[in-house]
This record gives sequence, structure tokens and C-alpha cells, in this order.
Amino acid sequence: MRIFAALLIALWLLSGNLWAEEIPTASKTVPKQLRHLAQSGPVNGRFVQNKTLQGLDIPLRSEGHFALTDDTLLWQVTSPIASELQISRDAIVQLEDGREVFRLSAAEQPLSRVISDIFLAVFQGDWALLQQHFDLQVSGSADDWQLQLLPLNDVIGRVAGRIDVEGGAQLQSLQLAEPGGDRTRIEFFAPEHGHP
Amino acid sequence: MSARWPALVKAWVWALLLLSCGGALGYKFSDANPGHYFDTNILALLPANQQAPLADLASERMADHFANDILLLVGAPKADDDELLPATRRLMDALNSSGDFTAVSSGGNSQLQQQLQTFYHPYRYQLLTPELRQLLHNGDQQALIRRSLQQLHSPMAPPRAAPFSDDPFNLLGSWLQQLQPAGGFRPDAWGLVASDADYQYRVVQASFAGSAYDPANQQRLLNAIDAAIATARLQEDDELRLLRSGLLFHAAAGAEQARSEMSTIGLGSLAGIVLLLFWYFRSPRPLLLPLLSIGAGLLLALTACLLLFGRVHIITLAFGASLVGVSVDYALHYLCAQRQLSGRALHHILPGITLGLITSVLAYSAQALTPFPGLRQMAVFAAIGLIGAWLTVVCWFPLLARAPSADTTQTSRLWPAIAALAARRRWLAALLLVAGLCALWGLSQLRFDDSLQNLQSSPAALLADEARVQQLSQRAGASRFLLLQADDAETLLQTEEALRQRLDTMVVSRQLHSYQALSQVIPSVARQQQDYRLVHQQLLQGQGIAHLFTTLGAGADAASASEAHLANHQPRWLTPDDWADHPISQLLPFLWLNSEASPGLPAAVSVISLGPVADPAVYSQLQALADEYRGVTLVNRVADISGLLASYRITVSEWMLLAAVAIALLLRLRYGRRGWLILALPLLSTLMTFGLLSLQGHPLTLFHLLAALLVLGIGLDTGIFLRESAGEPHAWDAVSLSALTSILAFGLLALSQTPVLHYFGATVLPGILLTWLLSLALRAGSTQTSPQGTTP
Repeated sequence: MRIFAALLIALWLLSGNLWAEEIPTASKTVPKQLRHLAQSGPVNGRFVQNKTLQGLDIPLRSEGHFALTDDTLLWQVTSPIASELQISRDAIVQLEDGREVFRLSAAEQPLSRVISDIFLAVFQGDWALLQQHFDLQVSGSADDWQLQLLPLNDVIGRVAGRIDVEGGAQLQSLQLAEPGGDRTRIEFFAPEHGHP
Repeated sequence: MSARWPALVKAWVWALLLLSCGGALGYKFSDANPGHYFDTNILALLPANQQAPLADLASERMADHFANDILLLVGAPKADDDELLPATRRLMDALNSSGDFTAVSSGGNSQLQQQLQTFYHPYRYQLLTPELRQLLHNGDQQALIRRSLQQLHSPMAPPRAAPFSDDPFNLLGSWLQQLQPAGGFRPDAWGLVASDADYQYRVVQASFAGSAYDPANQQRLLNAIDAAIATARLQEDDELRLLRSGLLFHAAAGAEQARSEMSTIGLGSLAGIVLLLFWYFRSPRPLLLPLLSIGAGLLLALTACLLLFGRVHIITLAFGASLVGVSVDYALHYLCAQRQLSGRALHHILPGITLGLITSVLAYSAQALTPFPGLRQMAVFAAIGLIGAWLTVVCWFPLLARAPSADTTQTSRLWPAIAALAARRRWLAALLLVAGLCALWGLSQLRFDDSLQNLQSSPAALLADEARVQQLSQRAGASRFLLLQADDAETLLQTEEALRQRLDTMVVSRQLHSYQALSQVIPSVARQQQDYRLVHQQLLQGQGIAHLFTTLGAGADAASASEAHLANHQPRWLTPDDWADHPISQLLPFLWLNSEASPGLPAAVSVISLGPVADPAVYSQLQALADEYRGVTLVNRVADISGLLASYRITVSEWMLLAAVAIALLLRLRYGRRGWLILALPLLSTLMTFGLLSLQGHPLTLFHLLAALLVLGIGLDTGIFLRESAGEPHAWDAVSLSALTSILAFGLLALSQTPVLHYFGATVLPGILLTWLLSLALRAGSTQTSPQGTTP
């Protein structure tokens, strides 16, 4: 999750200071290990995030639920503090206690479109979209694959030095290594009984 | 023979003077860079703002910031923007590989983020965003911790700009995040983008070295841009569009226009005169002599202007080219007199052309007294050019055009037509009366226009592009801003901070789109100290850090280590000079004016730049706001320049009246009581011209008035020549030829796309025609017997 936070804000902060590093050319076909992800339909579940910050001797753990329907991802942190995020191609909206506290619309903030694109692409296995932003390396089998993302763009690279995604039939974990040394690992689990 | 000696001496002295002029010009033009002697900047025509040199300096600094950049916006329909990014990249690559640009980017400086972080890091405990300041001020530790937790776990938080232990509440990250400048261009992963209802645009920014006004530079850069557009195949895709913005385009268009108009108008005028004279005189010598007098006049005028002003404005030259229409008067008068009177022509016409010269120079002196450098140049150019033409006629013509050859016909070619027209002068008078009544109606609706648009000469397509880009970028303009001055930087920053609270209110209520101020990047020392104390109180004494670490479940050691960072920190206070000395100040170099402090400037000067406003009334509000604070002024260059144009319009009117009185006295001395009639004709025709222009819905400008000076000068020549010769046909021929040549020259000026030149043409053309017709209608009757007297 932190990936996108970092990306979003860092890119955003650079208002007026971006430049293109690389342009995506012809997209290769989706590797067979990932093909099933795109067709997997609605995804939802539970996540646990562990963040290791430089200068803090313990990991910061948070957890919550996520749900992907159509083109909207709902990201709900339930512990240790509640917050809710709706990510769609048109906007990123933050809710607190059901109240909208922050909205980034793609029209006002084109960067949020990039962020939501990457976000949705990871969950939907949208290979072509990811390829626009990252150099992608896949290994393993359809049951147990590893995906390594190296940013093509310096702006993204300064925040996300490297991203590792692992999965099988479903997405299992995602790890972000920031150049400064902070690390974030998110693990995804099947929905608990009683949750959508 | 003895009588010829003074004539020879005169001729040689004049020849030597012209030779030295030629030599001086040759030396000047040996400099390969035409930018050193020709000026193409339209703003050079404007007066230096004597009242507010500081506002000028600030405005210049803001304009300079953008002067060496061009913006190219590549647009594609939103529905079909697949080609947008690749096309933009191709354009950037092509611009880059041209080697003519020092930098090409899709929107700015990629190092900036790192530079900002490094610059502000030592000051991280003393720079608070308004939100954090409020939070710390309230002393609500729970709220503070909650905010931190949310940021640690939510993706919407500012990125961490320092290690956690060093800055656990991410004060620096929050500070850096709020530095983001407001504007219509927004970043995505590949660069800046903007959009309107139908189109999506990508920004390409290119910087170049050298001046945008240097013609050689203009040519090279425009060629490079055109080549890059071709290489990027932008024009091959109908869906793509390109918007251009930048001083370079306007400067180049202005220079190109002036250059081409100077040659078309100058050449057209010359060609017209040559044809006319050849038809009239049927001999090459009378054809060459007027050219000689014109050439000598132009040579003297150009040399004098370069000596006096250092550089000559290209519009002065365009205007000067039209001067041939006036300076040819003396030569024509001489030649016409000689054809019909044979010898002693000079003796016969000398009083007339001398008086003509004096009155014209008097008329131009009014223009020379205006504070417009460009107009002063034109007046000096015109006056000296006329003197040169007069001297050529006086010194050379008696020697070069001594005796009329035996086969020269003594009849007048124009007089039959003039006489025929004069015979119908009742009709002419009736026609003029109708025109006069129409003009009277027009005069009753006279309007004046002093807007800056009068000086704007860029092609409409370029202006439309520029307006579109301005609208998309929402960039602060260099023409309206708040100027602050104080005895020291600290006072200045504190004033800014007080003022900004009010501006923030206007931004929230959407009256003002945005603003940029120095105190946003460098708070006053008082505020830094206050914020530093607040951070100490809440995070150290109030145990904010300890609470956060406990909440996170971290050990006491980690908390102590973090607290030690803050406790052991030795603060140093940021000043505007720190900012000015650092490369990041290049981002907004115009906010702080002291780095080039010159004697006489106040100790501390800053600018608050203003984004677009909801409606013009907001400027009155800003004016009222500025009045409340000491040392704050609202600079509105657009209004300033319009105000200047208006006040000069009035000044010129007053000078014209004064010149008219002086001329009237002069005419009375020579011609007695009825001498004022000579002045009345051009004045009447000028008024009629104004009335007729007004009838067509054209408001009058300063430049119409200045053109009226020309009408006055030529009209006086007409009246004086006719009067001196008692209306003889040779005089009628001379003034008619002169009127025709002037109409040819100025008729072409009226076609000019440069508004200033167009106004001159549109005034002088009808003005001269009316003067001539009026002279004919009012005077022809008294000279009707003359043609028979000289016709064999």
C-alpha cells in the first residue's frame, strides 16, 4: 500500500518537475503465469501490512480489508486506526468515519490516474499498464509466481526503488523497498467468513 | 563667376558632411550583429516609468524569468490520445538533437525535489505548515498522534523527507508538500499535462541562450523549432494540435512584420514616386534628383539617430521609409519651378521651402517632446531627414539641375486635370461640405482608446495560442503584482505574512486563483522562532515524541534517540539571502529583488505574484488591501501603460495647440492677417479625418494624433508653396505631385498589420487628400487666370 502512497505523493509533490524517462513501446504478451489474474473477476480479502522504518526498532503493523469491484478498489484500514480509501480511474477518495476528507480527481490531478492505474493493474494483472511504468521480470509457475518491478521512471524510482510481488492463483504479497531504506510488506489473505 | 564660389563651397561642405555620415554608418554596420544597432523590441517604444523604477525592475525580472523559454503544448482529443505521448516524445527528441536549446523538458527541473529536500533539511524543526502550527498550538496531543498514525498507515500522507528517528512527525515532508506551486499544468508520470473540455495537452518546455530579440537567434531557433515539428511528424496527424507560447515567437513575428513592411512600404513608396516622376518629367535627371535628396535625408537621419540613441528601432525605420513622401516636397517644388520658370528657381522657391521646413520641424518638435523613446526617435528621424533633403535641394540642385534644356516642355502635365477639377469646384465644395457634415456627426461621437492593445502587433493566431496557453497554465502574469518594500528583510517578511492571511481568504473565496510570495518559502525569523518554540514545547517538553513512540509500541531507547535529535539541534534562521544564494531560487527568482541591489533601492524589496482573478473588480480590492499596509503597492502595468498613453495623448494635444499657435504667429509675420488660413486648411482636414474615422467606429489613439502632425507638416507645405507662388501652375504641380507621392507612401502604411503604423496611414491618407481638395476648392478660383499666362 505504501508503494502507492509514496508514489502518489512524491509524484504529486514534483508538480512541474517531471520528465519522461522512457516511453512504453510495443507491449509484450502477458506471461502465462499471470494470465489467470486478469480473468479472476472480483477480488476481495484481508491484508496485513508491516512497515519497517529507519530509526524505528519495531515494524509498524496495520490491517484491514480490500475489495475490488469493476474498476474501483476499496482499501479499508481497520487497525490500529481506521481509514478508508476508494481508488478508481476517475478519483482517489479518502474517507474518515464514512465522511469524505480528501479527493483527488483524475481531471484535477492527472497523477492520481497513474496511481490508480498501477494500483488496479497490480490487482487485475494488467500487464500492459504495468509495463508503461516498470521493467517487469516474472519467474515461477502459475501456482507460484514472482514478479519484480523496477521503475522505468526516475520519479517513481526515487520513491520505489524496487517492488516485489508474489502470488499463485491470487495475489499473495507485495513488498516495496524505498531507496532510503524503509520497507513495506503487504500480505493478502482470502476473505474471512462474514466479509464481502 | 564670383557668385558661384559660395555655391560651390556650400555644395562641397554638404558633400563632405554626407561622406562622413556614410563613413560613420559603414563603421557602425561593420559590426556583424544587427542587434547592436537595430532594436526590434516593441516595448522599447514605451517610456521608462519615471515614477516607479522599482516596479519596472520587478516587472522586468518577472518577464526575464520567462524570456528565454518557449512552451509548446501538444494536444490531442481526449477521446483519442494514444498518439499524444509518443508525438510529444518525438518533438522533445527532435528539439534536443537540434542542439539549439540549452534544455528541453516536459515540464521543469528534475533535480528540484532533491535540492529542496537538502536545502530545507537543516531547518526542519522551525518550518510548520499552517495546519501543523494550529495543531501544535492547540496542544492536543491526542489529535497530533492520531494524525501521525493515520499518515503512517494511509497512502495519502506526504512522503517522508527525513529518517523517522530524525523527524517522527514528518514536519519536513509536510512542509515540502505545501511548497507545490499552484497552476493549471499538472504532473503525471511523464511530465506536465493540461486539459480543456475536449483536448488533452502535454507540455514541452525548451530554454535557449541569448536574447529573444536578436534577429540571428530568432532565425536559428524558429528554424530549429519548425524542423523539430516536421521531424516529429506532428502535422501529419490531423488529430494533433500544437500551441506555441513564448516571447521568442512574438519578438520574431514583430521583427519579421516590421522588416517585411519596411521593405514593402518603403519599396512601394519609392516605386510609386519613380513612376509618377518619370511620367511627369519624361527625363531621368529629375527622377534622380528627388531620389538624391531623399537618400541624403535618410542618410543624415539614420546617422543622427544612431549617434543620438545608439540603436534605431525598426519601427522608426519603417516610419522613416514613409518620410520620403514628405522630403520629396522640396525637390519637386524646385523641379516644377525650374521647368516653368527656368533660371533662378531656387531664389524663387527658397522662402517657401524654408518656411515649409520650419513649420514641419515645429510640428515634429511636439512629437520629439513626448517621453516615448520610440516616438522621439521617429520625430528626430523625420526632422533631420527633412533638413537633409532641404540642404540637398539648397546646396546641390542649383549646380546639378542648372539650366533647363532647350527641349524641355514648359507646359504643366497636371495643371489641365487640376484646372478641370477646379472648374467644378462648386461640386467639389458641395462634396466637401457633405463630408464635413458627416465628419461633424462623427466628431460628436468621438471616442479615445488608450489600451495597451494598440501596441500589440503579433499575428492573431499567435495571440490566440498564447491566450489558450495562459488559460491552461494559469500562470501568474508579469504585468500585475504586489510590490513590497521595507527597511529590512524581517519587516518585509512579516508584512507579507500579515498580507497573505488576507490573500488566502481571497483564494478560498475563489476571487484570486493563486499567488506566490517569498514568505511562503522563507518565513520571517519571528515566525521561524515561534514555530521552533512550539515544536520544542509540544514534542519535547510536552512529550509528543515519547507518546508517539509509546503508541507505536517502540522502545524507550528509540524515543530517547529521537528526542535527542531535536534537543541537540542548534537552530540557524533562514533568510532570503540563503534562498537567493541557492540554485532552487531559480524556480521563482523574481520574488526577492535584493540580489542585484543598486544604490537608491530600498533595503528589502519583494514581489507577490498574482494568478488570474475572477473578475477585474478584484484588482480594486487588492488595491484597497495594498493601501492598508506600509510599503505595499499594487503594480498594474497594463493600467499604468494605458494611463501613460492617455496622458501622452493629452500632452501631445497640448503641444500641437502650442505648435499651431507658434506657426500661426510665424505665418502672420510673413503673410499678414490672412496668414492663418494656411494653417486652417490642414487643421480643418485633420478634424474632418478624425470625424470620418470616428464615424466608421474607430476610436482615436495617441498615434492618430501623432499622425496628424504629419498632415499638419505636409498641409503647411502645400499652403505655403501655393501662397509663395501666388497659385502658379508650377506650384500646383509641385503640391499635387507631393500629395500623390505622400498618398502612395501612406496609403501603403494604412495597409500595415502593425497597429501603430496602420493608425498613421489611416490618418495621413485622408488628411492629405482632404487638405489638397480643400486647397483646390477654396483657392483655385483666385488663380484661374494663371495657366494662360504661362502657356505658350
